[in-house]
Amino acid sequence: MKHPTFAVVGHPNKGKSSIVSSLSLDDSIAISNTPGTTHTKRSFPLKVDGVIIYELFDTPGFQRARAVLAWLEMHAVSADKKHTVVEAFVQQHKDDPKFHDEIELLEPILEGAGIIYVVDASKPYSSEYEAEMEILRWCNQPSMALINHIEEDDFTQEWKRALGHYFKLIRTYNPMQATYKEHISILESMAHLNEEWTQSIQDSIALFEKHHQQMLQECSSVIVDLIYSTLHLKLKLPIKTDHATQEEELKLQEEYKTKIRQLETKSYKRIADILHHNRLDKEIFDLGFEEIDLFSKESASIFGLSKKELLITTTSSGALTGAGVDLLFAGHTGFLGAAIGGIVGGIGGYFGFEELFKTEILGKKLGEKYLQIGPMQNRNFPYILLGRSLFYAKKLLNYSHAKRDTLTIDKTEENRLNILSDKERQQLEKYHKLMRSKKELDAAKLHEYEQLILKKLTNDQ
Amino acid sequence: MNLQSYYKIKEFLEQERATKEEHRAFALKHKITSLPKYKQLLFWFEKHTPNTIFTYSYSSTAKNILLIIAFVLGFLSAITLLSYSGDKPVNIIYFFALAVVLPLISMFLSLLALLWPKHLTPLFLTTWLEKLIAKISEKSHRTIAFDTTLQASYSLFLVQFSSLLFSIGLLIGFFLTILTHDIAFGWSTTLQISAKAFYEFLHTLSFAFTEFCPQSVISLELVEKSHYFRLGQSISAEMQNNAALFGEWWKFLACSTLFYAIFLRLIFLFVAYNKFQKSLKQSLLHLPKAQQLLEDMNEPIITTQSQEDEVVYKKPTGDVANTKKQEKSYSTLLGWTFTDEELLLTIDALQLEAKEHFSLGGAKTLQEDTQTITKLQKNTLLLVKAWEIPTMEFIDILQEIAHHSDHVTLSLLGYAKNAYKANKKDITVWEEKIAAQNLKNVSIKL
Repeated sequence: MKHPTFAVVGHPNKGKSSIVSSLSLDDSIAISNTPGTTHTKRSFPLKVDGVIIYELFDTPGFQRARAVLAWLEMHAVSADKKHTVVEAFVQQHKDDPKFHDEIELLEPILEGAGIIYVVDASKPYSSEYEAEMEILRWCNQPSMALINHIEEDDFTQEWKRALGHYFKLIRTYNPMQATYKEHISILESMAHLNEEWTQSIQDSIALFEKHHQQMLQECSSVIVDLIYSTLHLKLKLPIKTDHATQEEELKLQEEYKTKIRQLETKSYKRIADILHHNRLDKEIFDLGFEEIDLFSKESASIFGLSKKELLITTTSSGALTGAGVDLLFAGHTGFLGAAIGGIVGGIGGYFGFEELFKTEILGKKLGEKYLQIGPMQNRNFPYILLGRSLFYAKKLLNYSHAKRDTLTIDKTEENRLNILSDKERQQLEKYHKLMRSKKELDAAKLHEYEQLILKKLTNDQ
Repeated sequence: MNLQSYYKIKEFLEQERATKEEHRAFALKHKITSLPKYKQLLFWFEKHTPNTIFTYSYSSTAKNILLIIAFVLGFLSAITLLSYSGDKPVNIIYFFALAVVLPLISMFLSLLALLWPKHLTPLFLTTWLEKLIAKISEKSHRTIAFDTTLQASYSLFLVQFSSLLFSIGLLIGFFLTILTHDIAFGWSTTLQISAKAFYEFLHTLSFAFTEFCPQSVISLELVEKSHYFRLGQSISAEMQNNAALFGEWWKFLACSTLFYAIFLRLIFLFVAYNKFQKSLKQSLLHLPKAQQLLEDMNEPIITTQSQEDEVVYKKPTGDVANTKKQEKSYSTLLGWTFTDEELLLTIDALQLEAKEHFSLGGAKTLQEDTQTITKLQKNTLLLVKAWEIPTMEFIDILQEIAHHSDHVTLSLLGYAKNAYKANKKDITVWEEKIAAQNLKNVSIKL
């Protein structure tokens, strides 16, 4: 059985390409205000291991609908043969540049594609659309209407009344704001257009969900790599004397910052690739981060933990470790372990809040003196980095592939982006502590940390 | 599956550069997705590595030396503990401690380590030995540190293996000694243990082999008679009289060693080996890139993007005259896609004057449009809804209107609620489209 196909058709500039872009997670489609941006039909297949499950066609808009309808009506036949007249029209005008756009959009329909007729309900209904809908009715293919809202005005009701005469299924879908659930919901509607397609589309929905989960998993993995490689990063600078000069220290600190910034940018590019935001070049990677440098106080206040939160996190994490010792002695320590652990953790958190770098001179005894920076000791930094990464990933996850503008960050304190619960922070702190140590963290531990990030990403969607 | 293959897989994974598509194609071609994950990895490894030269290696020499030492140590312990000069009996307590008590303590610790491997394996010598070997190996050739779970289970396995070899060495040494010497065994301790109590203790320990080897069970008489006290250089006369009896102990000692030091150890070795294999498989899955490879092989490749290149639209260029001038009246007023009622309402609202007015497009047929256009004469005002972008159909009509009129003024209207003022974005679209037609007698009224 041939896979289901759908042709997204309509008047020019009603958001057909945006809808295809959103449904196919492809941000490479040219979308603009200029009418007739889409010049030829273009296929967007959902492929699984090379096998097409369903196929979407982005098509040019109707340009001469009344002329086409006039031709069809001149060759009027009984209702059961109307589609043959449309076929005859396509056959006869295949090489006629005048009807190039109509031929492009009708061809997939005549080959069996379901019709998704797109209208913009932010513009009033007009009778000029009737010729288009009438042509589609002649094609006698399963069809649905999709109401898009390009601008703020709302003429949905008049559109629904008009579309109701031509389509049994009318759905609203704004590709610019559509969530993953709305995307799936549209696919479910498409599944009902034709009984024969139901299974394939339902399979596609399951695959989309799997694909979505895969993307979340990969994003989590990238974030974990970033946090681990950053916290674990060590840089060395050979020095000649026993004491490093201020210049040398600053040089090493700057190198260290640059290296971390590079790691962050590289990770964000990777996340954008995973989420199929390939078009998003420099502007999206900056994402407003250009103004909020990773090492700035602003970044710490937006993405990191407050001093109080950090204190609670490190204290409770330390206490938990100490409690482990108490448990080992079956509580005979009078929970002194938990108390000491809490105090030590709290002190670490308090003093490790501001201090970003710790440089030390090594190799003195061996005669090869060098200045070393890292691993990162600042307790807040992993939360800043994690906060930024989660923000970036979550923004992109919900960023429509149809959008062509840039993202912005709400910098206000009220809209802090990390929103980690006490429990989450406590769980994360355990791993941050291990990452800060000079030892390599084994893959099993990294996997556990990744699962926490994945859970956070999945829950926050 | 052994450590050597673990090393090789790790090294091969580090060098692996195949794409996600290649991984998935491999899994589909060989239909391995239903296999357990570690088997998939092994299969993939076997199929890819016939010509690979590996630089990593796990040094088993140290492990082998350890095992040999354990065996020799056991053997020598037996020889030493059973050395018999004839002037005093051999105190079985030393041998008993080494063959039964020590293994039982070590097995108890092993049991705890099986339950909490990460916390308790550092207690074992083998753990530190492994670490030492890894440190030394780092300098001589490439090696890889294990993850903690694997290290713990491997140490535990090595402990069981070396203990087993120690006990085997001990037993062999024991047999060799009793074969070559006529030994009189006895027992002696500083502790105030009565012969009866000691007998009961030994009798309890014999429960495991009483059924299989009843001769090995010690009698109370033997325990009593072989209890000796050393005072100065001499032992009691009674002992000397019964010296021939004391050789009977060997059966008990042999059976105890066989059961407690070897049989039970074999069980522990079996459990530890399985745990080690399990950890090895688990660690294999946690190797860097392994998870990625498995995901690539098991997860279908889902693509939604177009494979076709998009034909880029080239914006046409041209000029169009703009005018702000409002003519007092026009010979004809046309409304594109207006209904007759809409047109009348608009003319009234904008206070436009024209000799005649018609609506075009929309619900009208092309024929009706043509009939209207042929009636046109001098200057024509064409009202359009600016929010609806111009289609080619409109351009066709505009060209016809321009052909039949002296001058056409295009008026771009916005919504009535905005006083018919069109927005800038729409005006630009219209201007560009009209300009591209190069119609000399058409101008746009802003």
